[in-house]
Amino acid sequence: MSFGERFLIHPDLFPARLSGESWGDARLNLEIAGTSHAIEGLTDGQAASMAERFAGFDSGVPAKDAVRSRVFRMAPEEFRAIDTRGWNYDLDQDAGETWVRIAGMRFVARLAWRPDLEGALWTAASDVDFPGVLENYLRVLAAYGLAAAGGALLHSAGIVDDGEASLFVGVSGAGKSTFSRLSLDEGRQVLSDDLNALRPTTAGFEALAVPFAGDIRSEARTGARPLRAIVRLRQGPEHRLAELRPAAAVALLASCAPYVNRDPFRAERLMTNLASIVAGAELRELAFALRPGVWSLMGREVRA
Amino acid sequence: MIGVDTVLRRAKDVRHRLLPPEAVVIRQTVPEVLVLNDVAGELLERVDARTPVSGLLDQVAPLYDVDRATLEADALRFLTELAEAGIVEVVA
Repeated sequence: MSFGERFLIHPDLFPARLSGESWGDARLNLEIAGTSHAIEGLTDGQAASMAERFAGFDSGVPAKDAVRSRVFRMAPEEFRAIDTRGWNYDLDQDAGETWVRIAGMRFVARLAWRPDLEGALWTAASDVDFPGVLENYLRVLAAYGLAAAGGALLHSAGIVDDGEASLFVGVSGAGKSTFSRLSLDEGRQVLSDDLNALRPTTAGFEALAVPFAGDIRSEARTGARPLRAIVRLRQGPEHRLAELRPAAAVALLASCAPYVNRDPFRAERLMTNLASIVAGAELRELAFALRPGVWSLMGREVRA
Repeated sequence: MIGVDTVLRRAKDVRHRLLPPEAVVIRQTVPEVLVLNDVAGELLERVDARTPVSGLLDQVAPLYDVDRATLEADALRFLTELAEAGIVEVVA
């Protein structure tokens, strides 16, 4: 099945330029993982629902260097009706040297580097469905923006201990949300149990929460924490910590770096970023059991 | 069948990075991420659609304290596994 066919009646008519009919004149300014975003062309209702959903990430005033995204109307009849029962939602993605195309439920999007990153979202979603659509778009935009900045967006549980963040990474079902709850019970903060951002700094990398839904609503959503460790997570009969080899760590992170890891034009950059992240972090593999005490183990051995 | 005269190229969807003593390979169309041992990683790094396996062995041999026959046997086994996994393709 070619790009867009799952979602669009006419995938060959995918917008070629970042233009269209705006939904309205409202705009939203967000700060996501250290990058300012200006979302333009919203209705007042769309802007209000997004401001509520992304509370704490609304930067209020537009930044000069903000990544600009424009939102345009698209007729509902352009999208296929999809029976979502038992369906695993995954976006269609296509890339070129200076652009990325995305197709999903009730929206399409295009990112472009001209030379700075900007984007456009065409959707049939008005107020009620719009937050979910925009969040899907912003996940992609954040992933590409972070990769271009030398970092990465990673499926992971981000846990803050003593002012530093560690990312616990694992395949679906590895226990990221369960481990996050255990960590909360042991007095640690959770950035996110689903997606976390890493950005380079002059001293290494820092971890930041992103405003995308996870199971746990974080109280540590804003601010950046120095990255301490990358930890491969799995559940086991007892708590146990082991070494993680650099190549295995890069492979793990690559498999958990959504969107960009499927882009043939940006995979080299992603690999370079991930190798840098791994070079400066403690690398561990953690098996954890469903009982307290895991952080006393982490404290003893990860810092050793 | 891969032999010392075989010429190989990396598959188009393969991106790799040496992280001594191992290497990471991403296959984007599958998608799949693999970790290779050092010999396989060094060989993959040198696969260029022009150099036969014997030439790859010439380049890799100085890196290892092992006799040529052992290295050749290991290399042919690794390259065959990489070909079966779709990471390299036979050119000639």
